Amino acid sequence: MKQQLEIEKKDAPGDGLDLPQLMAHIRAEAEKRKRTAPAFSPIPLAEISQTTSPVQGSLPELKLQPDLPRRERYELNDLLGFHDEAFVLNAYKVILKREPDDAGFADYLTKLRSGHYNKIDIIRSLRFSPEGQRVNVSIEGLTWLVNLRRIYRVPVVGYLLQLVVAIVRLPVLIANHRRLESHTAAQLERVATHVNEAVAQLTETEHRHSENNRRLFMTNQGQLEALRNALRLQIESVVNEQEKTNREQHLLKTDLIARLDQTDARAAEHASFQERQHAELEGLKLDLEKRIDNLIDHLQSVRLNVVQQEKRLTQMGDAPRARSSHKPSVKAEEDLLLDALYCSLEDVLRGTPDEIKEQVKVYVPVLKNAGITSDILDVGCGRGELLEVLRGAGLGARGIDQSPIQVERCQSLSLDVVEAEALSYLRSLPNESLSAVTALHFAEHLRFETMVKFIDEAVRTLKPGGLLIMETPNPENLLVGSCNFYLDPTHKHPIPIPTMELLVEARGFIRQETMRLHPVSSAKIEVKDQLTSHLNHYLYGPMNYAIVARKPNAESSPET
Amino acid sequence: MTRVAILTPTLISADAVSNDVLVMQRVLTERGQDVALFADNTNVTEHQVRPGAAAKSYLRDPKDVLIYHHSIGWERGIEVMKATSCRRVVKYHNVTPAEFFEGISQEHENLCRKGRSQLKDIVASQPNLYLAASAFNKRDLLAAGSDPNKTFVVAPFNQADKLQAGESDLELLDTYNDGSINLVTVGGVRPNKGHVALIEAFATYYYHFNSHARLFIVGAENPAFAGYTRMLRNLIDSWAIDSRVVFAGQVSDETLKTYYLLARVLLMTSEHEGFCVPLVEAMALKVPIVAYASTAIPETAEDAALIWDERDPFLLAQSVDCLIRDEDARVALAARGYERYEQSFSNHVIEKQFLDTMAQAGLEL
Repeated sequence: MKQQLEIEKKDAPGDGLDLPQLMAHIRAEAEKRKRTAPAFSPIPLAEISQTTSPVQGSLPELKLQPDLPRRERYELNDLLGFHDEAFVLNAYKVILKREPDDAGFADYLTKLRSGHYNKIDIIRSLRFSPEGQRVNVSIEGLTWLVNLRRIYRVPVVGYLLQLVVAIVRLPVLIANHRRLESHTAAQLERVATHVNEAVAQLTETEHRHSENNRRLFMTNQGQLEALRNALRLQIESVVNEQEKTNREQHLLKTDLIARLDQTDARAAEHASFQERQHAELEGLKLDLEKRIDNLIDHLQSVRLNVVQQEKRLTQMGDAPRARSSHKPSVKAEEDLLLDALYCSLEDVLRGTPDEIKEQVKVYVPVLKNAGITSDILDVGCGRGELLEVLRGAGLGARGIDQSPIQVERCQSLSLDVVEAEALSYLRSLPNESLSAVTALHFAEHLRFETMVKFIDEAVRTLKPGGLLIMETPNPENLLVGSCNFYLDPTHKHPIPIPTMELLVEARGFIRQETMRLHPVSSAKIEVKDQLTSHLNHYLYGPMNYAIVARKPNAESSPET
Repeated sequence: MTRVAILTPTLISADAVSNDVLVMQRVLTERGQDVALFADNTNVTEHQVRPGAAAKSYLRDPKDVLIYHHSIGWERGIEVMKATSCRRVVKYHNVTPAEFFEGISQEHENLCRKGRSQLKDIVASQPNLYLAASAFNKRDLLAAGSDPNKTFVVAPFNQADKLQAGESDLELLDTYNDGSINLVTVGGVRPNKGHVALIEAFATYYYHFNSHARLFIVGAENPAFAGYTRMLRNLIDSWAIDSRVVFAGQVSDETLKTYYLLARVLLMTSEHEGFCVPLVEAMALKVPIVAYASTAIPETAEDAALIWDERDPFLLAQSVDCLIRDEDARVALAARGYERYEQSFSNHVIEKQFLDTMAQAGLEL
């Protein structure tokens, strides 16, 4: 997997390299490092060379036979001076000018050692071999001896000659033998000396080795000790660092826990403070509501006072006028006729007495809930349906009506009813003498200013907390407002609910309730959408409404 | 067409002098000259190389040119110089002082001693031109008596452009691209290369700065210097950094490029350099250099390397650490090296320098 590689190394466009400064920096850092570096070095180089180089003054190789000298020509004695292997080796080198082959070398050595061949025989054999003849080395003294050896092989004569030569050469042989003996002894001596020197050197080498080993061991020990120290220092510093970190962490943890506790305490404090505040706010709210109710009562009683003051002023102005205009009515007879007509109309338009009684039962609980059981005045009581219902409910009530016919009807039903004009009658009553004033389908017969006077009188004659209940046609129903209202020719004008509400409040009452009554019971438009829903409301909604207003409690004070 | 004989004792691959010879041959051949190579030892097969003695018969015309590259003791070179009557040029690459080989290789000691003494023989043969690979070498020539008017500096041709364009060994790249801080030195494992200082500096960096460091020693190991190599290995063992030092041996161009790519810094602690080609290769491959100032190294590197006069392992280690940590400095230094290579040592710059110098001496080729 070989591939050409682009050399990807970043080029620096502008050099910006201050070499002398960089080198000065490096030098300073190196000095610093050298000072602080732990002593750490390898085994000194000198010792390594000592341990690896050959032993100084080592013994030369022991040579018991000298090397063959290099010459152009050799004498026989040059070779005969060698013995055994050295002789065969050198004979080959001199005669065949080559190293012996393994087989030839072994063969000649065996023959020499067995005594079967002597040295001359071997030299002759090599020299006169085909190879020896080709090389043709001249060895002085060889020919004569070879010839002599040949004669020795002649039977009898050869033996005798050999014997004679031996006898003649005996002194020489003895001398040779002695020389060989002393040479051998000298050689042995040399061997012994060499061995002794070798042993001594071996001992010294061993000693030096053990010394080196010891020094190596010491050096290693020293290095180990240095390393150990360095390591110990490092570990100590790491441990110290760790302990310091642990202490700091512990402190931080403690601090954090304390802060968390503080925060918890503050949170609890804050929660209870909020609870307290909430309770206080609740109390304040209740108090405030109560004060608002009281204020409303107070406001209305103030209004009542104003109304009463106005009325007094009016009465003071009216009194002389009344006294001066007291003259007999000329229209009494006409009124009676109209009254009869009206009664018959009402029978038709208002509904049957039973229907009406059913409708007016709704006021019984209103009165009872206000704690009213007597002193109820029903103004314009008509046929007396309400009076009958109230009597049935055990409530003490009486009625007035302008119509002699209706009064007579009521009286026939044993109802406490007198013929009277409402305003005059109320004016005749003392202050706070009534518990409730009811006026069903009465107000729409009055002119506005009369109605105001009527309300004023009602508020005067009612006891504190007494109720004024007024029922009248509801013009929110379009049919009532546009048509049905005018079926009764004595009706003046419809009174919208907001007008009525404002009016009673403006004259000092507290508006307690507005009751929307008597919705059209006939079939309605099927409700499909908002429009049909609206149509149903405006066409078939409640045909009447009643406003229930309370006279403020005189004793209530805004400061409560 | 002029016959040009380029004569050198040894022409082998991955050798600075041989690279100079081969590129010189290419340059001259491209210019239409009849160029022949002569060397007694060679393992180059892609070029015809004749025995040194054959140069004598090759150069017949007085206008022929002999360029003899002198770098070691070689009788044959001097013999040819003396025997030829053509125009003669000596390219001097310097000779390693014999003392470096004392007790390591008697043969090299003798060859170097002879190489030094042969400078005088060369001068005596009165060459037409001396080309010194560096100003440092020029001083040697002048000291030996060369004519100052005929002695010029011409940097050696090199194979940096070949390395730039060549392939790299991705497998090797994967093997050593393991997050270690790889440092490299390039050059034969010879006694003059200052490996002891290198190992000390590396051990210092390893033990005091960064235990993720690794050192590649790229270069041939010569059996003749077995004792030296063994001593280095023992030293490495004694520092217990044998697992962090890689003897890469003699490598192919591809592998050499890979080691340069792997290296964050080239460390050069050689004690004797006539020029120092590895610096040029490192510059061309944008490897920043940290070196000891010896012989020709300062003039080859100039201000494109961190060069220290003192032999202090802490200085070298701190320099490496600084370059490893400070990327800006490393990049700026590498960029300076690249610029120096482009301006002074790319083969086309050297070619112009070589031809101009030759032409000045009346040797227009």
